[in-house]
Amino acid sequence: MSGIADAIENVTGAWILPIMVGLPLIVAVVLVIARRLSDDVATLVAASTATVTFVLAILASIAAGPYRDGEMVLELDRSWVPALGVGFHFGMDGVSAPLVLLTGLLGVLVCVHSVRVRPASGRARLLVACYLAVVGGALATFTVMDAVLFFIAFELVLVPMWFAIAFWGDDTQPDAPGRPGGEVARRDAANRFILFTAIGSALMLVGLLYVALQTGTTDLGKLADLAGEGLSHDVQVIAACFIVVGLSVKAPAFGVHTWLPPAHTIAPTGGSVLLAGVLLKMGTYGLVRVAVPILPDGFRTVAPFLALFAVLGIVWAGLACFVERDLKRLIALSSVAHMGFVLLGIASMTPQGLQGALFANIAHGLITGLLFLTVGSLKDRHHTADLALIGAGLRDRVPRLGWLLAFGAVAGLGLPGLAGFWGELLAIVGTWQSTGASSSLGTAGRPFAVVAVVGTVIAAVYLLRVLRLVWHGAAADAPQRVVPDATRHEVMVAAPLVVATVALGLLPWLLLDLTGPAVRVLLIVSGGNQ
Amino acid sequence: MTVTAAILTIALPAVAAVCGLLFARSRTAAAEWGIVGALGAVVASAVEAFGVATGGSAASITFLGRVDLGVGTLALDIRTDSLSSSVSLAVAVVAACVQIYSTAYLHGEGTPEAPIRYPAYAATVSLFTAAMMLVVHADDLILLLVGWEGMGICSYLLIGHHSERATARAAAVKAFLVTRAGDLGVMAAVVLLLGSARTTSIRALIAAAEELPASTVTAAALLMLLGVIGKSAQFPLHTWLPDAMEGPTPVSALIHAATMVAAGVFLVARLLPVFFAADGALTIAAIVASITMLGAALAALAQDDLKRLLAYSTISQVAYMLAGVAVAQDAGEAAPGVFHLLTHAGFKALLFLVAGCCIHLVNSNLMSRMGGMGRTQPALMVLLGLGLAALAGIPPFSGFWSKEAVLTAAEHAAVEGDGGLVAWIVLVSGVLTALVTGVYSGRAFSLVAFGDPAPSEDGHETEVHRLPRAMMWPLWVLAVPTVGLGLVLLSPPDILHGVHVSWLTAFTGTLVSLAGVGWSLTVTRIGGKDVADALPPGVRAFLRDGYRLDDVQDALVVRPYRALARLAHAGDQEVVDFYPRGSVTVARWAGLKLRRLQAGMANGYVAWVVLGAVAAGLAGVVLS
Repeated sequence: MSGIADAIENVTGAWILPIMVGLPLIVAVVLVIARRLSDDVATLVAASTATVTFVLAILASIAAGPYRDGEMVLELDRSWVPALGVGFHFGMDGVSAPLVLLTGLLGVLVCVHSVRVRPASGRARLLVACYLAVVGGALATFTVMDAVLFFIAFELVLVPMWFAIAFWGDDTQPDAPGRPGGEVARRDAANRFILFTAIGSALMLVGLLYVALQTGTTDLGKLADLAGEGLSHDVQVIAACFIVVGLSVKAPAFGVHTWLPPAHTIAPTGGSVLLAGVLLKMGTYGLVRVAVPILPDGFRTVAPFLALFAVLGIVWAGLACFVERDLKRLIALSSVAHMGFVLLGIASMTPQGLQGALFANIAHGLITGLLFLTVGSLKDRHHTADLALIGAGLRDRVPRLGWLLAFGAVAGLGLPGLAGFWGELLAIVGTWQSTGASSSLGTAGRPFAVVAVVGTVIAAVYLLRVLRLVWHGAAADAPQRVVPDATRHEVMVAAPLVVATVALGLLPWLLLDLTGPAVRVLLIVSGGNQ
Repeated sequence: MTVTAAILTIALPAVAAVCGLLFARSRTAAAEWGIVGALGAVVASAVEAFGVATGGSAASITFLGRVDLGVGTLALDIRTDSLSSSVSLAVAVVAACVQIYSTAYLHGEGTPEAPIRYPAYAATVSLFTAAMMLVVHADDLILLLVGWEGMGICSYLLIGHHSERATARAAAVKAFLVTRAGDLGVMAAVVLLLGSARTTSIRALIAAAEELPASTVTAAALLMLLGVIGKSAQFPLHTWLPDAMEGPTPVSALIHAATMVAAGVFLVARLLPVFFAADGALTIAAIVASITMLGAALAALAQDDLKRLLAYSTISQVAYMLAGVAVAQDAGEAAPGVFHLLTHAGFKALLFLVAGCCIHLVNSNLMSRMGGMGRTQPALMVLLGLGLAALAGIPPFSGFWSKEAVLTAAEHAAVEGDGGLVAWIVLVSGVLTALVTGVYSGRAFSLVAFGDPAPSEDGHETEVHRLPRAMMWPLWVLAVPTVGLGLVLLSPPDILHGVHVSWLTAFTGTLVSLAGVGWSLTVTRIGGKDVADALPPGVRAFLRDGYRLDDVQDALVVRPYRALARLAHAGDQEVVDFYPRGSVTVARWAGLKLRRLQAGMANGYVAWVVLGAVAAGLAGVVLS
């Protein structure tokens, strides 16, 4: 490991980060411009680009090691617009490394997936260009250390994702009561997505600029070192309100989540995977990277409200999932519940809570990514994601897809021994610990923890319902009996997610050793409760 | 070597499960992977038991690594000691018998409507074995929880194995959710202990049980007890177990009789010092056990279905184990309960596998269809008799020693110790249960072995045929501990050192059991058909339906939950979504504008991205 780290040090140094970010973005632009390129070649180019990007991400995360003391080792800081104090500042530590790796992995998987599985409406070249742009933008979000760059990267992701939903989205949704289907549904989903998240980013921008005005710098590293010094309590609270609300839209927190189910339901498979695995994480990453260290006092004031909405999301979304008929929509709703644990962990402002949040972030990306891939394959075959129309007996009709779905569901219900468990457990531990006068949640911490514990059963209730309806049951009762099983290609795309889910579930230190020191540094600097 | 063997008891079945799923191309290969994994576990646990017996003290070793959590270090260690090695040996033997038995029981490939799905079956049984081994060896509560829930999901998969049956699907979901609801307690205990004790290491918790704040210990013990009640199917969370009989019979033998349901008792035995230090936890456990053992035994008496009878009997016997642990007068005295766990694993596995043979022969679970097997299947009926004698506690069979040990411990606590009223309740309930157990054991034997089978509805006579060898051999293997496990008391392993059997208790217990068995056997001799006919029909139906607790559960939990879920779902669309709809005009407008943009070339979009970035930058300039 240290040999690799030295080699990277000699060859690229910290420039590996902008290279890693720039590569998919540049190739995305090239793919858009190169109109002559056939879809076959374009998807192959995208898949190889994503693979190279992933390798760069792995190398970068090795170079950023060994993560023992939580300091940022791999850092590139050049002045860019000195007049504004805007720096060309990239960095990677234990908080960003897991997310960078997750983004790299999911990028490879969705691009490789598109090599064989093409959108019904064609134009795969542009679709994979969108995917690459999302990956590049997300990698930028996770590695830039400057507030303005952070905002730009954050915005950059929205546009290609909007295209993915608006052009390649599913326009065959049936009409539901109070919810028209077809083209209307697609437009509604895309517009909701852009409206909600753009408004969210705008709020965040206001908060960021307010902080920048007050402190005179936009450098996230410097701001974190200041840890709110020089910002009065009121200023911190106002800025934290803007930033937390803005980022909560993306996370999404309960109450501002209604953009998510339509977006997921309509988006093409790869889009759903990236949406769940990457985009939602940008919101929670922003909270950990920006809100907690830079505005500790302000965040502490806002935290109980954030936790309240997180807990509400866990229970409410979990309950709603129990009667949802559309499988894609159900998994999207369940994301609200899962991200509730992440938000709760962050709101606790304890090392365990933050580590739990970061763990749950990764676990949700892997598991929900797997579920969306599987459900996407089911939807391609059945031309619907309605549980009743997919019908019973998947384990007999399509054993491979069936087992992938069952595995995803079991992982999604937070079974100990799989990745979903540790994040939820630690987030709850953190919330339980966050009690007393100096904590962020005070007297509310323990009740929230109790509700969250109950929330872990709610997930089991709705996921077992799904398995009972479509995985179990007599194959003869299914409306469409003969559909092809997952191809070898589809299994290969899903396999890394399965392996990673098991590995993180049995060996949680793989991730916790990365995030632990970094989280403690964040909290010590910001004086959070220990 | 001992430690390596302990790791292998977990690793071998786990590897067998994965290989069986991924690499087995045929049914035979899948079966072989399962058998090899289980036999490997038998050898490994025998080596482990030998090592522990000769090497003495408990050993602990890093298994899945350590995690620095900031509050403390999470050490995912495993341990080997007398308790883990004896229980793992029992688990491994039963698992191996079940794997071999299953190859014949689940024969063929089934029909397209009801496939056998053997590779998935064998792999799940292997995975279950590994999970149970993890529970037995875990030296950390979270690691134990990993195995604990792993067993839960395997149990779910196996109960729902014949998932084309609606009853099997419902039973699988019910089993998982009821036990999971109990497991909330274990999860909450972990959260609590990580918070206050700063550790979940079982070793550390046992060592520090006395020093920890009383409130923490009490709360943690009570919460864990909730998990124990769920997993060990004790009142009022026992309702899942009779339904779990929808699973294939060998699975019932392994999971829902010999091992998983006993895991709850194992947890109490493992953490007995913590439970001991907790105020009232063991008292509650003893009361729950007293209610459960008698109630379940009465319900067993009224069953017509052989498997459901055995299921209620399991609930009742597990309650004996829990009572045996709960009346401990000393933090080190889990022995009577653990002994009953071991003997029960042997004879109940035997009984279920015999029941599987009977079901295999007549294609029905109903005892009324099974009569007269004493003539047609004498060897099988001898095995059934051995198992039922052990269950009823007739000397010298294994169940006699362990049941009397439990009763002796209760008597000791009631008369000499400070068990007080609770110990008396356990003792009285235990003796009464012994009577009822005798009655239903004798009834089962007389219904299956004597008399004549009721003609089947289709008038088709079941032909007499020989049982396959793969189904008979495991029975004889299990008959050995059923008959002879009492001999282990001549030279008990460490964990059984506290086992005493007082002559007076043993004499009373035997008389009571014999009276019960004698009664039900005589009834058929003097012309009656079924001793349960003595019950008034209403009472009998009430008992058969398990006191109608399912209806209570339905009214109190299931229906309100559904209503709440519908409310949330409707609310999500109608209430929370209100303000975005309010802005629908804005969205429409934006949609129109954006659609106009879409008409352009893709390059145009790139321009917009750049423009947006520039605009953001400009905004920054203006404001700073």
